[in-house]
Amino acid sequence: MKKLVSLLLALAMVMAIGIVSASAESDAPHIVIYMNNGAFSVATGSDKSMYTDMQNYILEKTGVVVDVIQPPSGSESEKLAVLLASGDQLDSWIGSWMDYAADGVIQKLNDYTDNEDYQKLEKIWADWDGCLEGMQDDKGNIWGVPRTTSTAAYPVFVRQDWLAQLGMDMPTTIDELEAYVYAVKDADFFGNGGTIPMSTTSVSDLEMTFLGGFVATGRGNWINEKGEVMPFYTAPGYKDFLETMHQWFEDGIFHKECFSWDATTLRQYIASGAVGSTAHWYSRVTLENKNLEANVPYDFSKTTYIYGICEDGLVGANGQKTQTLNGTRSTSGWLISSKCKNVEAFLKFTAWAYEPYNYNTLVYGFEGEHWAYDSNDPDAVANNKVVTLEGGRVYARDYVISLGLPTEVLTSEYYDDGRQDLHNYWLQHELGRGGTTCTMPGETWQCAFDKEAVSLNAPSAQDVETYYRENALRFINGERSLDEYDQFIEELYGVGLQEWIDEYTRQWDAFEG
Amino acid sequence: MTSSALDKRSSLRVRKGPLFYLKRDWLLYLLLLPGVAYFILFKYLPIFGIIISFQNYKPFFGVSGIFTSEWFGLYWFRRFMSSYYFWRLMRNTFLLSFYSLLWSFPSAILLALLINELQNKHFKKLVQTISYLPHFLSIVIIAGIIRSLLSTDGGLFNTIIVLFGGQPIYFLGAPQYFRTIYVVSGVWQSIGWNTIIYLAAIAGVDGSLYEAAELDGAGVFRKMWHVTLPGILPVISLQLILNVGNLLNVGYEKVLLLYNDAILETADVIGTYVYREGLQNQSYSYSTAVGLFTSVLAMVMVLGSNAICKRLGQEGIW
Repeated sequence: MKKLVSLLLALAMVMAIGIVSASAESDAPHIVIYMNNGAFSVATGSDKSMYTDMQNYILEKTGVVVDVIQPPSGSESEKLAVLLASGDQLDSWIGSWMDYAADGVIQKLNDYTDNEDYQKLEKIWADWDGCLEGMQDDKGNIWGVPRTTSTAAYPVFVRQDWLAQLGMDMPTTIDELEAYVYAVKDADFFGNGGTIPMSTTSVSDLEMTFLGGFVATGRGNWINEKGEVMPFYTAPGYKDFLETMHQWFEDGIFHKECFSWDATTLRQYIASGAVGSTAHWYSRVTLENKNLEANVPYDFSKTTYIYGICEDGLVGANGQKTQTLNGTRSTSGWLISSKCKNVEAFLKFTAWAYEPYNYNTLVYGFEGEHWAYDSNDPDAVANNKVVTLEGGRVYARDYVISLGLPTEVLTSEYYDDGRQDLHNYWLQHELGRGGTTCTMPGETWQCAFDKEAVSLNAPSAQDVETYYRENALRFINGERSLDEYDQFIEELYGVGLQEWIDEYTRQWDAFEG
Repeated sequence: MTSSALDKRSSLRVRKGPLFYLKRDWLLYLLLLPGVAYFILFKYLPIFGIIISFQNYKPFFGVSGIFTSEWFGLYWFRRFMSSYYFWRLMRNTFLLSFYSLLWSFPSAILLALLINELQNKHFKKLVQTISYLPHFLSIVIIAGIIRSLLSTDGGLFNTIIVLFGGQPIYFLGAPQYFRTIYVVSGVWQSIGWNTIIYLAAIAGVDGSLYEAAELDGAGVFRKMWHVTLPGILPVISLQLILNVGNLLNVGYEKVLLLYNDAILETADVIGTYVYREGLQNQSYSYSTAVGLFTSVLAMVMVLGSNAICKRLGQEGIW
């Protein structure tokens, strides 16, 4: 009996090894992508059959076997660090080439500039100012495929139904916004004191949304009279920003726990209808619009959506746009591991993914099962107007490597009632208008600072950042009095601010020189 | 038996080599093998990895990177010790562990003594089961429970505060509450589980000592004080030494799940700092150096507490 059990166990092990080997066997090139581009912000992973069907579809169309690793929400960078250290196959991920190029972790694409697929990608991104440049170093090395464009990603969304009930117009200045949020606080439209006049999740959210209205250089480095590069939290006007935010916090404009919310909690509050205005990443609102509309009765004959924005961009007391432009000349994009053996396969799949029909498939799923061309538009195919279909298998955008404005503006998505999907509308019409609705991020935004060099030449730089972040929050939530702001600046020098300034100035001078 | 014959026997005994014992007790050695393999694979071999704390190691290159990385000497150790946050991290780590030890350690002994005195077997088992349960909850669930209890949106504590006319307090946003929250929740989670070893030790106390004490007129508390406690004192001192060794090894997972920028003043510990530097900033060498530094300090503490226990007449761990 014992022998029989042993024999069966051994047989099972041999079969398991055989199955694993068989599944790994394929003549087609195989690439593994860590999909940390925001693809999973809508849903968390398709089921096995959906994932495999899409994988087979991609294989059929491109001849490439693509495997995707889903990042855990909120711990994307930690998972990436573990993956990079694990030695397992990982061909591409989103990151700043500045963090990897010097150590030989990624490979440059200069050898592939004649590749037809690379040229397709280059052509698409060439139309978006500064994107290709951001992925190149000063020697002309190309370190990846761009992901982001300059965006107005931190608008203040305002509840239009509440504005109407208060008899107010869409705020165009911080003062008008302040009047609105205080009125919302008093009116408590959500009831039982549950109204949140303004949602936010971090000091950096508030800075990106409002700092331009207080500091001339927004949320970006400034240069002092000695020609030194200075961090934005030392700029004239930063204290005024803290004072306003502190006052709002004290007066209950923000939720007491907002600075420890994760994205899921924030989105739940937005979908519930409790939030009067927002100061954070735009898609927390746009992606929740359908859920919000299910929870909040609304007359769509008056305005198309429940939330609206100040189209020209909110203005601060200094006459500048309050929002800081995001992602200018970004060094972040799809990086290719130096261990990747199938760069051509990666480029083939990526270039294929940028074609509008394929983008639709990778975002929504299969035509007929997950989406269809809009029957209300006779030119729907030419206009690439689609409607999503409910009730089928869930497809969670696992393979959408082509996420980004160049593709997103080409597809129009509509709700059943004929209105354009808010998220899609936003991508097409608002996100790319940062040039007119935002303040430029500082005076050194063209320069990609080398973080590795900062870490080695200014070891206390990380401590300085932590000290600022920690204390800015303490000033806002009242744990520390703003009377101590000047002392705080002195303390920053004690932590090592001068080291920070010297290193950034050195790099800036080298860039300018 | 003559003395020469005895000498001959003892010399024969000496000549028996390890192979003899291996052959004779092969089954015992076989049982020992998985344990030894575990310690070699997961405890001794990784020690080699501490070399990266003296290098500028890049994890992307795996094990081979250890042989090719640039030698940095004591750079990372100097950097940590000269860091602005060095003393705060040491203080927070030490205090969180110290307060946890201060409350968890005696409370488990006290609970074990009380459980031991329970006469109703069913009630005794019920108390034990209920007190063990939190130990089996994942730290993520524990953090979720703490957040819910302390929430300003209908959390139990704030509901009570509001009921008595107070204003809701965001406990997890104020540094002065963090240590209490951490320690109290830690006591709640571990107290039942920690009693097991003391209950086992109590079961081993000679019953005749209790009978003798009763004959001398000792009541429940006298017996507890003069028989039970001295009976389990060796176990208590052993546990204390082992706990002191962990004073700089605070359970950072709970801190990580509960802290935010507003309470770093009291909540940021060496573990969370290593997590940020190692995993978020991908500075493996730096985080390894910090880990090695705390391990050396922990060893010094274990040696120190062991020596103190021995001087006080208790058994040490060696």
